[in-house]
Amino acid sequence: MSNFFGYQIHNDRQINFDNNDLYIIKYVDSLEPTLKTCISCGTCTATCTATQFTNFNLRKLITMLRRGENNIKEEINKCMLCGKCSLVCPRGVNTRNVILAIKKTINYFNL
Amino acid sequence: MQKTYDPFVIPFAVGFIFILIAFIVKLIKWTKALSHNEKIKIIKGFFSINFFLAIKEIILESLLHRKIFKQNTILGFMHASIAFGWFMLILIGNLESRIYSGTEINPFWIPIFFDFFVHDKTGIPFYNIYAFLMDFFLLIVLTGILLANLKRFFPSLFKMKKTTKLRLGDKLALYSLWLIFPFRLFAESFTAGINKSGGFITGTIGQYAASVFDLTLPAYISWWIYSLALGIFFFTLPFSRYLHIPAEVILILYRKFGINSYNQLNGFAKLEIDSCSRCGICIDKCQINFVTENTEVVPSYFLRNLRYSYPNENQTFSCLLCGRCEESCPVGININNIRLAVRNKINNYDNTFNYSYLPDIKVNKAKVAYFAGCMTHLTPKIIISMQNIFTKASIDWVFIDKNGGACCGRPLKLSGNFIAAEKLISFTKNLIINSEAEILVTSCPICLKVFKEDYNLNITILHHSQFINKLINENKLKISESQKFNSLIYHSPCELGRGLNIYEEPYKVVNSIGNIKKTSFELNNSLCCGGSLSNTQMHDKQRDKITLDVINKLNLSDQDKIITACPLCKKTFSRFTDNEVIDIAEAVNKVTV
Repeated sequence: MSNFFGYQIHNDRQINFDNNDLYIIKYVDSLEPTLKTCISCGTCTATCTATQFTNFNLRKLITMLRRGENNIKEEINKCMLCGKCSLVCPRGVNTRNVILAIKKTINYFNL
Repeated sequence: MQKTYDPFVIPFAVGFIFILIAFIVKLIKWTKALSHNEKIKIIKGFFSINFFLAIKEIILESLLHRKIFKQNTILGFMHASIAFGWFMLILIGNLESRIYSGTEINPFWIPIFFDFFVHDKTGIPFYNIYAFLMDFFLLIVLTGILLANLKRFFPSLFKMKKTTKLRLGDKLALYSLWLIFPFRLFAESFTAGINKSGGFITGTIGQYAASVFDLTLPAYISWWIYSLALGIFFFTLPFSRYLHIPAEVILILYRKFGINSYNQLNGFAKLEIDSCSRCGICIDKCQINFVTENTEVVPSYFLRNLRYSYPNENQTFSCLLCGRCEESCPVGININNIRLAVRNKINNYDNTFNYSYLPDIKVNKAKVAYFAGCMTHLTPKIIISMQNIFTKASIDWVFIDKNGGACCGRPLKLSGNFIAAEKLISFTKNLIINSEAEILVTSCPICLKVFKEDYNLNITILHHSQFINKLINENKLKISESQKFNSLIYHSPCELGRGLNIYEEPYKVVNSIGNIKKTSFELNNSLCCGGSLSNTQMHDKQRDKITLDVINKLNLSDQDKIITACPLCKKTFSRFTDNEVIDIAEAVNKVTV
């Protein structure tokens, strides 16, 4: 029933925080503690060099990780590490290191 | 010569043989790690003019320490007096003993302990001059040792805030080095006192001492301690920082033969690492060290860890790669190259960055291609100014990343992801080639560096300050005298100045549009604004500290304007000062018609 009279039905995205494992984001947080101060304002995504070519979205990625949806391996590879996001971040999150920390975590847990 | 052997020579003799073997082993290690082409370069080098240039540099740097003299006279004197004085002692001592014994081949310890074995030197021609010279150079070395002692405990006397912290091996070597020359003085003086000989120092001290007490035993003990100290120094040398003494000589030779360590941990980089004497000159230059109190990052400790084990992440990544240490390094080690190579090794596991989503972008053809760069897109005033300047000078130009192109690849490279950087490099390179431009102009020194080093483009690559300078020289831009700026403080960006050695053109442009107010941080002594993309680990608060520190040091008065040539510097500074921060392009756009 993916296409029902021209309408799409999304998969259920309800998260059970009791069951969901947040080990990835916890590890990333420990590598780059400033990420804890992120308010998900999305300024990083608004300025992103990669976003103009593709639907890469750092805010979404971090939100997904916070929800325990850890399927971000392919998405994170789109980052160019140019550093515009860390310059505009109102919370002073070291976003470049967040990206590197996520890459490191993916490698560490062999995702 | 009555006898040529005494048990006290054993520590020195064994140490000397050990150091010879250790040096040969090290030399084989350094050379073996080089590639085939580099080895051929070395063999060719020995038969070229470069060999003589290298010898000249070895005398100037390894013995006289010219680079340290230029920076800090008293520190230079300390290093030069020990190195050059010791060298002359060895040279004259050898000469003297060879002349004494004719063509006969001596045991190798004879020149070192000549005074012990030969008491009556009157047979040597000009023996007075030898005695004078030996005493003179011994005095020079002793002065150096005294200064070294003072420096270790009171670095502020040498205008140094900090001196290097030492490992155990270094300490052992250092203390034995400090012992060698005082005991050489005692040994030679006492022996001279017994035999009524010696130069102006050893003779005088000897005569005085002989009148006070019996010298036979003290003299013999002094010879023992002298030999022991030499032996310990030789044994610790290959494991301590004093390995730089032989390593630096080889380093200068190889460098002159055209070998370098471009972003690789190859044999040459290993030689560079061994050549670091941990003199500590870089410590006071490092902003991370004196502002954020993160003392581990300085090259002295980074290279030390790299030599004995492996540097930690903080040391590898908490560096601004501003290059201030490299400029001040008396050995000329390419520290940034080595740090990048280590970053590459750490991030090596991961080359999965994927930019296949990048579309085909059509570029118009023009004579001048302008690449703004990511950072410039965050400071749109620079882009508008450049557009105006192009129009004013009626240049045929094309804006390559008008709608925001891809990144140049330098930030990835700075983080150690070389292969990922290559992917972006090939994308942007295609855009530039498709524009068929003769000149590539960029507003961002970070992009400029990678364009020049990794793009292999066969066109002229200019920073916008260079391009503007060219336009002014060609009279394509007319500067209106009435609108000139009053007092401009030029902040030289790291990547542009120390990174690419571009100082002349920006200064010329700034000079032609206003009055430069000099600070104590000009040219290669300019400070890093703190915004550097190279540092991936530093917290924002620490960055802010560095920026504030720079602004304090610039001593701004109310009407001063900071003028810079890098969008990142502009962005970093403007958050922390009420004074206007402008880019060269903006300023030129304002004062031209």
